[in-house]
Amino acid sequence: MNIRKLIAEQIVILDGALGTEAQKRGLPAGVCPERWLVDHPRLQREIHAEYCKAGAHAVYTPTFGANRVKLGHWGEKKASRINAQLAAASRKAVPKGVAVAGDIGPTGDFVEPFGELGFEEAVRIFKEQVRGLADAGVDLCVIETMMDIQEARAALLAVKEETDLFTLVTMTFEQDGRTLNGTDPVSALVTLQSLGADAVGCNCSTGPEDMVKIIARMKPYATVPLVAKPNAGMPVIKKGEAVFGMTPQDFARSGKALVKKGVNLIGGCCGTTPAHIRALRGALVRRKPVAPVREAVNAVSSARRTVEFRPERITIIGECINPTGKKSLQSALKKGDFSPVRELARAQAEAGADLLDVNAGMPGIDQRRVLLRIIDLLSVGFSQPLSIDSHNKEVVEGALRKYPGRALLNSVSAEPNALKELLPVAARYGAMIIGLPIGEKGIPSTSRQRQTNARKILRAAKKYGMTKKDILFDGLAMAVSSDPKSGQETLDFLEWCRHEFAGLSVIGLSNISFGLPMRRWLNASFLALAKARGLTAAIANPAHAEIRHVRAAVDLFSSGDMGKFLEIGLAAQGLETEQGSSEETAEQKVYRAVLQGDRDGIVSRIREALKQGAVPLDLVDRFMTPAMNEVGARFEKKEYFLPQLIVSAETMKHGFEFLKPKLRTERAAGQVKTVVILATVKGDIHDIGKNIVALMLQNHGFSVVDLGKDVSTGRILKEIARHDEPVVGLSALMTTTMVNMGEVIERAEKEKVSCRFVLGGAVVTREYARSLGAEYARDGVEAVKVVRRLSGKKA
Amino acid sequence: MTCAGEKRFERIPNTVSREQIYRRLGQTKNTVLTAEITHKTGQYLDQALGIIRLRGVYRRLKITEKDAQSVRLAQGGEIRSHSLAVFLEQCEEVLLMAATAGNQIVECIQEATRTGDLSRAAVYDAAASESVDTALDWLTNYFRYELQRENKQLTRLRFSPGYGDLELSVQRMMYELLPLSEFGIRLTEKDMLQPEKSVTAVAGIREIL
Ligand code: B12
Repeated sequence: MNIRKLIAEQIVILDGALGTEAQKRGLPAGVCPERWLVDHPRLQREIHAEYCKAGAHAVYTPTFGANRVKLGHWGEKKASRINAQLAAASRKAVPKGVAVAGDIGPTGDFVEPFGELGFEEAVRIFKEQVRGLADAGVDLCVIETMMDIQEARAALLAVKEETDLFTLVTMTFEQDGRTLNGTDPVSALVTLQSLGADAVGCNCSTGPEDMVKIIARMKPYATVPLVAKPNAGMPVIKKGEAVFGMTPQDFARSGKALVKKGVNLIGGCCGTTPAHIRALRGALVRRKPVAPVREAVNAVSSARRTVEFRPERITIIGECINPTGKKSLQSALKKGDFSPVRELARAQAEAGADLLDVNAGMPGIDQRRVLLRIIDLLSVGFSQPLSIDSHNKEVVEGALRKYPGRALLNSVSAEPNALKELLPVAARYGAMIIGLPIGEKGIPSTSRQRQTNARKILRAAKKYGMTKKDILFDGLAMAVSSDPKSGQETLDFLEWCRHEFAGLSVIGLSNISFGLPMRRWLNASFLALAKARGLTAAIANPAHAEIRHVRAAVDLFSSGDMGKFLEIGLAAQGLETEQGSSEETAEQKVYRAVLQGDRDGIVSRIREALKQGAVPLDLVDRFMTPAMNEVGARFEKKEYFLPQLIVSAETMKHGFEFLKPKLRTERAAGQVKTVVILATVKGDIHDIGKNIVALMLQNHGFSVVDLGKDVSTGRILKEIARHDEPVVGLSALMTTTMVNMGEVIERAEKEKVSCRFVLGGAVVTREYARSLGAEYARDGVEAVKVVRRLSGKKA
Repeated sequence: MTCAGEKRFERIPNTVSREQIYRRLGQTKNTVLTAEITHKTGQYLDQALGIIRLRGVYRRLKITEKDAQSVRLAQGGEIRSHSLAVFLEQCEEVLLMAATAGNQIVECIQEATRTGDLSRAAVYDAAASESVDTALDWLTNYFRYELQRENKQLTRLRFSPGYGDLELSVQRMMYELLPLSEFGIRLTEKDMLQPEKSVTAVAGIREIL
């Protein structure tokens, strides 16, 4: 049977649930289903026969769990053999004209970098299974119910490297539209279709209604047919029993909606029966399929995001993860310390990089190993797709194979060797590439020569099945300091690339300003010029505000997306207005530093104020404390959230500590500070809340003795005895430890020590505190008020 | 050794959302954030998410007996709780589960506190709390797939010791039935898990007809 032809002509009907049908026919719980079916071939025959009778064009072999990992749980060893046996039985059971699809399900373990299972080990595990299926002569392979994109990739590579079979990959999406591991439908599609999947889609998890949305998101990016195998709705409770809710008629009706959105192959997953498939076939047999809408997609993906290179925007490829010329990064990488990489990535991601370029080219390290580590780290921690920056074939191959998305390869030149070595690798793993129009004779100085080389790259790439949309052509921005005309040549090339050649383009932006002053402004201006001439993407550092702001402006003018611009623009403006007005006095600046939590700036503000004659005590009483009170008020109105409260409190503390030596001389001799003893009671280890309270109290001039957490009653009493009528603050998180508060208070009464208690913590209530004759405070702000009251405003 | 019906996860993907963490930190629609505080908080949050390592385990156990006040489990566990007994009325099995954000984040919180960087500590703390909670969501969602293939279903809600009449001491039984020591988790005298960014819960398993 020619599956491609069938898909082109009609909606292809797949079968429905097999496991539950087998259960109905006697498959017991607690046995290895695959083994049991091998021993009961009649069952498999019957189920397949029913689905064929219902009108399925293809049935899945019952090999969902027949991989080494899952079979191993049952003590089964021979994965290939079990697959061959079950697939052969399927083959025998179905009439001619019905296809047998070799079914491959997840191992249950997650694959590197998202899990512990090694990537190549996963590929090997799936290859065992594929061999068995192929030996028995299946017509196609199905990889299904995947939630880990990397596991899906491993399985797909296994099929592609073992066979030439048509391969369908379906992933399982949650109601929020992502897989359990966070992959969205478009990224799954872009990744899998570029890696060679012949059809992509979704199965299980949700009912058909939710799948309509998933298919609708996928279709505009699909170069391959789409698949849906939904459950029979979600289980619902009826008369106290849980049942799958959807009747065959409802199911068929939703099937129509799916086909309308562009599904080409459709069947059923959990809860569906031959009756559902029959209804589906009846409803869809005459529907015209919607062919894939795209021939190629100019987009790259990570496990969690797709970035499409669009003409109306500048796509920024963050350039910083590159040890060249960065001494500290080099020595960190040599030591195996990858934290600077994470830091660089974070800064660029925060500044709006769409992709992150990664380069590990430096002497003295195993480039391949280091680059793979970086890729793992960034794939887990960041959603930006990666640009793999290397010309070494082994490094590139290792990186593209392992990267859990569709990468950009930076770069392939027009030199024959580069074309021959790198293009097949890029094509095999479906990467996009940056085409460098550099030929054998080095970097051409004119746009015209560069055009010739660009054409050459495209011709070579097409031989490996790539298209113009898979390539970003590099405009070769060179230092204008050494050749003032080079900027013009680059701009001419970009113009040609966009308008005559209809290709996508990129430049390495910062080269242009090499050796000149005002580099950031030169870069940003060139970016604007290049965009005007048709540039698609730039390798640049978005952490530079000039680049970021010019990009935002250019994007606004060419895309008209005001919302996006305002987001960036207002944040930038916010920074400016927060600087405050120029008429502010030095003391007011101190006030604002506390109010806004300027931890690093407070001391210099205070110095400035003192220089202008401010009195330390006055500064505290008339500016800092009122600022802190205003912070507290804002916190209570929920205009500030916890980090703002704390940062302001920390700012106050810094200022206080700086002023302390100066204050001592000023404070009136008779003024004694109230002592507040704080402790998290015995048995309780939670102390973040108590620590916040401590900081707040210190800031309001109380002398805080913090005994820490898990503090025994005896220890607390001993401390109380050392002070004159202290206030004692006790904290507890759990009811089981809260009782120890009672113990402390009782013993204090018994021993007749003089003090006042205030209680707090998650489980403590006002009533509970009152029942012990103590005060209560909800949070740090209230704690200050209560302690003030208790101490008679002594502080 | 893993027990029958038990599955461990060494690296649970952290699907917590920033909004969730901001909400835990008290953000409401009234909250006015400056660019600086947004930047700082975001930075701490990123760091925390890099340090937090979510691990977890679940184990299925048959219910051997139940009445209005208690539920007995295979392997000898017994849970006394009226509301749990009612909750599990239609169920023939339970799923016991636990997750942890790991020791490293707890150490970093303590370190930040020690060095007087309380704002960092508070953001790390909230990030760890929310993350470990979502880890349980993730575990149950994962387990749902396993069940669906058996035509069974997990109760939508789950119960945690320390809530309602399900006493905190039930954590001791859970600690015995789940291999938590292998994640480096200890149980204190007061039945609390240490590192403190850890959680336990129980849900019910029932058949789909
Ligand atoms: C976040 C949270 C968690 C997080 C983190 C917990 C941790 N220890 O770090 C996670 C998700 C890990 C968690 C786990 C559990 N939790 Co919990 N958790 C909470 C929650 C929602 C907030 C606690 C918190 O960290 N707040 C943030 C900090 C900054 O605030 P805070 O410590 O409360 O401090 C503030 C005030 O209380 C006050 N304050 C604090 N101390 C003092 C002292 C003085 C003198 C004063 C004046 C004021 C004061 O000011 C502080 C600053 O504003 C509370 C409920 C609640 N709304 O409080 C439940 C709560 C504490 N958890 C509870 C339970 C049951 C658990 C679990 C046992 C559940 C389970 N079986 O898994 C586990 C514990 C596991 C273990 N380690 O053994 C119960 C405890 C009830 C009980 N029976 O004891 C609570 C009360 C929820 C409930 N039932 O309502 N939990």
